[in-house]
Amino acid sequence: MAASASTQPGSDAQAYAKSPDVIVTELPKLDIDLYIQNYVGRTRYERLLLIGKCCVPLRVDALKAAVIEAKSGSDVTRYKDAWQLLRSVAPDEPEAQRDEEWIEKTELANRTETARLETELKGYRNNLIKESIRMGNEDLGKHFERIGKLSEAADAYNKMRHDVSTTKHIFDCGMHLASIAFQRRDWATVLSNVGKISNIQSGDEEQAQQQAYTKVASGVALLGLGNYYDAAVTLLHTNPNVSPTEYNTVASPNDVAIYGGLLALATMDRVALQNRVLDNQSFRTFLEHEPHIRKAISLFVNGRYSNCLSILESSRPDYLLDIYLQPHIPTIYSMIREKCIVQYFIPFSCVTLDSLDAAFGGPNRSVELELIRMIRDGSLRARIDAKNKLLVAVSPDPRLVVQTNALAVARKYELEAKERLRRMNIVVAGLETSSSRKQPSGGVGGPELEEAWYEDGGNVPPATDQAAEVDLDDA
Amino acid sequence: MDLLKSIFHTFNPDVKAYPSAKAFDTAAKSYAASVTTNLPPAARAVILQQPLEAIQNVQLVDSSTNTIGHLAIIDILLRGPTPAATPRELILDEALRFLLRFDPVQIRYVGPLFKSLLDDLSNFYTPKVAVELLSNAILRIDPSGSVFTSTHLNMAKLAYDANCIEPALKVLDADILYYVRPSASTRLELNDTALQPQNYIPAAGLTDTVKSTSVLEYHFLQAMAYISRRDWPKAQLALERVIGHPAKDKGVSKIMAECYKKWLLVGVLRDGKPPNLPSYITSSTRSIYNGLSEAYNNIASLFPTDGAAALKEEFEKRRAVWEEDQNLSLLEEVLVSYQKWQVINLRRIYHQVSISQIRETTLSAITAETLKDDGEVLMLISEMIESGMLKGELQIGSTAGESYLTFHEEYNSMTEAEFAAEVARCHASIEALTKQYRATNERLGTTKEYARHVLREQKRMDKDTADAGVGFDMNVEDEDLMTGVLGSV
Repeated sequence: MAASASTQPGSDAQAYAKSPDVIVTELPKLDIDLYIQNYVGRTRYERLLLIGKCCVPLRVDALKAAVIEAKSGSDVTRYKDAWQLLRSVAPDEPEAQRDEEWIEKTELANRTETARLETELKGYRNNLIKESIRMGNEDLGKHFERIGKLSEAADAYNKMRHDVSTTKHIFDCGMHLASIAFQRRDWATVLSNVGKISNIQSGDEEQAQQQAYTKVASGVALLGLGNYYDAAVTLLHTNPNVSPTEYNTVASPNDVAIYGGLLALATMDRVALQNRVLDNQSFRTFLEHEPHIRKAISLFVNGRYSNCLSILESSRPDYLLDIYLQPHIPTIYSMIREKCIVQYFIPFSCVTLDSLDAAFGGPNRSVELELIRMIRDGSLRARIDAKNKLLVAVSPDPRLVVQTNALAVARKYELEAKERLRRMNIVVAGLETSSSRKQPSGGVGGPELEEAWYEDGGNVPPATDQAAEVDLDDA
Repeated sequence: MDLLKSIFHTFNPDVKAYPSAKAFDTAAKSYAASVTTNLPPAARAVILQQPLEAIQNVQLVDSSTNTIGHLAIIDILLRGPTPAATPRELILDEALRFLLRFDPVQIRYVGPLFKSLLDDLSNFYTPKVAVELLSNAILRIDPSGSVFTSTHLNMAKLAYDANCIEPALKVLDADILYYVRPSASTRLELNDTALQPQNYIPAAGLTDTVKSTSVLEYHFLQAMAYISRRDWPKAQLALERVIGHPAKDKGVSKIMAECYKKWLLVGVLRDGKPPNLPSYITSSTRSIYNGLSEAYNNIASLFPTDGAAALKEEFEKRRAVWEEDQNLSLLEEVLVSYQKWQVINLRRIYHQVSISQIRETTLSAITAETLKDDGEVLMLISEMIESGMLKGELQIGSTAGESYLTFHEEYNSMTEAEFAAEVARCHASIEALTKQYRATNERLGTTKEYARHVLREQKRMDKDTADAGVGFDMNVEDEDLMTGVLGSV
């Protein structure tokens, strides 16, 4: 993580992960062991570390698991980071003792391994065997990735591309690069690499597996870019029959359900939610992993907005502990809330603020400020009557609108016609400004041109007039 | 005295007494010459020696009927040394009477003399009177006020310098559509009733030649006059005329850049948000303006936001810039109106809102804080309603904080009849404009640029028929032609 931080700064998500603004104090529903089982690869450590940073009740457990996870690999930086965090929260744990021996041993092993792989690769290059060169690069890339040198890993993986010979190779290469980009939170690169592999033609079964990976990966990347609607659509198309092992380096089936469901809830209207989410056979399989998301969506579709919101609210701590979702949760939640309020208000011409408070406000929290913001944004077409404590729907008088528009157009036309006429006459009188090439005779608006140009079509002496510079001494 | 009579009473100003309009034209011309350039020195001496008699003499003929003679005598009296016994006021009164009643057709025969009288008017009268007389004279010569003359500029200068804008408004409000072309030297029958002001004014010598800078300066002064009256919509239009002035070479003159800065501020004052440039301003000019006025752009873009503190800071930070551009008072006006616009914008959120809520939600840009008590807010709002800036109604409660403001609809609904009348007015005005467009089209048809364009077009046609197969060549030439014409237009 630290290595990637130095190579790819500036991403929002990164900023969140580095300085945990988000602190979850409630006890989330998740169980660390069960949760982390769903994933393989480097994302496990990232997820554990995030929980360790942000979640007060679980942090010791999570960080201990992170330390163990780091020690099972060979990335020394990761171990040091996890150890440091653990030491600051629980100095008495056995895992909080710095294992210098392991560090030295691993660093040495890493160096030897790097040297070995580089020598091997050199040998392959000299022999000019394409397949060996490709494999050598892949091995080197994997090694660099394992020890946390992400930019070197990306270089090595990129070199693989020169020597690819089968579609499988292209697929592998793209996946490796996407994996690096995921760790760097470089969503655009993820999308471009995933895009490259999604166009590959291959066998049916393979195709299905690739489809699942590309959909999940690009869905997560689109989420990272804040492109919620596209992310939702992409995730909704994920093939449910593919084993999660195809994409569990990125996300679990539970994650697909959560990301897809939440984003759909935030961006789609009720009809679309019914048709594309609840009635979508393939996505249903995912939703079964996360029944409360499904519940929330069907509650929204059935118009029971406050229940829907309270379900979401109860899962908020869990979602805040997800590496990809965390930075976006406030936005997604407020989008859903706004949609609920707007939907709630549609059938009424006016609603008392008290009833809105009852439906959407928490204890000691009035929705009024939120309403004000929504009206300002234009997402809610209503006015507040502060005296009678009402929210009144805006019902524009069509006749007035037509009249106003018609008159505005007529006046604008008239004004513009006059202005254009005036400008034409300025040109006719030769009164345009021009700052260059003054004529010595100056002073006369549009001096007469020599007759010369009249005969031949050649050079036209520009009809200039006085200098355009005027001092504003009398301003 | 008889000498005077014999000279000045030779002209019969009644058109009906002449067999034809042309005969009147000839008679008026020779009469104008005989009382001005060809006036015997003896007659001039008589006038100067006996001013009272001379005045009485012309009073026998009314100034509205014998304008030519009257002007000649007044001119001699105003400029020549008159005997000390004759009070100056008497002469000035006489001139005043003349200026209010002169005949707009006859005056065309003594155009240069009249114009020089107008030019010197500020030496004879107080600015207030002079402005009033000038605006009256301009509208008597050309009732539509649509032709720009050098007198326009003189009047605007005088009105703005002396800060007496009221009497000048009639002229300032008129839309200027025409500019005189110095080349119109063909001899016209000046009494021809079909003659348009844009034709007879230059032919009669009622204006100096106009420079592009004069046009810019006039609209600038016009805008400044409206700004001093806080008439933002009109000021904005006037400034738009300056910043949108056609330029030959994508350049922007200093006065245009200055006006752009003012235009931004005035637009903010008018609409509460940064104004949009009119469509006829080219993108290159737009980018020049943008580059020239960063400080002003910042202010304009901060104005519609909640950032009162940022606005205040920006204002303080660039104080030197505002002072240098002499826009400080306009900027202060912007700061004052910030809170007003905040209140106005509340109408998009509230139907009714309490005064205390307004106090809490709106900030003053002068202090970057809310107003101190509800009473001040109440004052501000009643002031805004009175000035017509805010459409709404106050319901005064027991305390200022319990008073409520009800927003009214932005636009009042009109009855069908009113609406029809308004539409008819627009229609008529556009019809009239169509005629003027035709006239302009004719004018353009007689320019050399157009003749040249036609010539080239013909040449091209000839060439085309010669080798019709070369479609590509034709296109290239077409493009060339377009750039050539557009470049000069």
